[in-house]
Amino acid sequence: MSHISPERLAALVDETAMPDEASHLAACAECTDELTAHRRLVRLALAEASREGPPLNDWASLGAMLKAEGIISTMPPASARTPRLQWVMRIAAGLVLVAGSALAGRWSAGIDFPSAPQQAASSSPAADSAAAPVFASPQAAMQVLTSSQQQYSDAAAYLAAQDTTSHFIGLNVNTYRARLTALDNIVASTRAALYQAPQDPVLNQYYLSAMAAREATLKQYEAALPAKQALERY
Amino acid sequence: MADQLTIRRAIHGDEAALRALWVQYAPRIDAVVRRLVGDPDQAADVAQEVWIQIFRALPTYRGDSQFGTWAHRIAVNRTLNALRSLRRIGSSETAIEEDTASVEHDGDRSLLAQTIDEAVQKLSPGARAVFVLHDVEGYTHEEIASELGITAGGSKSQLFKARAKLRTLLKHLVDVPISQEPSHVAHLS
Repeated sequence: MSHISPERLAALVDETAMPDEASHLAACAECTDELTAHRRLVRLALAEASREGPPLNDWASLGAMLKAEGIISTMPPASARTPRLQWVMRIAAGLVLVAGSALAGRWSAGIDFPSAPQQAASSSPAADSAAAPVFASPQAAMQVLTSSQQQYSDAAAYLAAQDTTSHFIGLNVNTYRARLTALDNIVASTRAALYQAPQDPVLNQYYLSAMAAREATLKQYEAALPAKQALERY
Repeated sequence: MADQLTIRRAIHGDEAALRALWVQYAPRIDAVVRRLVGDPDQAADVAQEVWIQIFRALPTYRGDSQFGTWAHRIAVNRTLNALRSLRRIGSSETAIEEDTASVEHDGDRSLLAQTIDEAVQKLSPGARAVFVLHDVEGYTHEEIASELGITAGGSKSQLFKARAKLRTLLKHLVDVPISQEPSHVAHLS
């Protein structure tokens, strides 16, 4: 048998040799060396997978593209807001927690929500608060925190779609506008802080809660507007 | 856990979070783009498109796999699309260029890796894509066939031709007798 072709030797790195090929390899040092070289090449290629390199772009150019695409939020920073609203920032941090408490209060007071999901009804916050939670580790606590944030976001979105509070506690467009201004300030200030402390769980919690509340309030605000008035800005 | 928070912030358009993800994953993602595209200028353009695509798709990330794995899939898919639109990946039987020029030999590990990179760039785009996806990224021939719109047999054929070509281009690296094999090569198996 003549020597095995280079492409067939390349294939034999992955495939089993036919009987005549195996016989030839057993007798031919040249082809055996070639096969060894191919195996070495594949090992070198595999090692390439873990090799990293410098990014191909810088953040300035990529960031500009992301802004142009609307992927990076261009909400103005807190400093761009009017000075008379700065005081709101000082108390606004409590607003998210108040909103959360209000939700729990409405729930525990037995106010019916139309078409309330079964999942929500099965886990009463009042019942959950009866026993203080015990966490096995900080990771476990973070897991609960993240899960709770997601539930809070879902509940806020649900309430935004089905909210009835404005009928009996007098919420109107002015209230929603004031709330949105406050939430924007929380978002802007926590976002600014996250530049310095991106992993801080408290800042992340406030930021995400404020973003969820803002989205829900925007929907409420839009629903409260007169029928022919579309929400373009507030 | 920190990643989940960062991802959720990134979904909301938080620039710091988007940047943090890019800083963490760009070295790996961009390396794949660079290997697949070859030309550095085109690779930079494709990498930008890849990252825009990754960030645009963020709301669809469900956390079923690691973020890096998820982003890697998007990067490969988007890069292959870009190569296709540049008409750099043709049919399954794209010929491998008959460039027999060898590359410089250097024993240093980092230069050695660059040499493999250089050799891979001498393959045709189709053969390069198959070699990189199979031998570097660990894709199966069926996955490659699906990504490139070719048959699994065509993928194998391209791969074996590419290996044969690279074996010639990297003769100085892979011809070392086993007894003299450098330790960094011996550790790769």
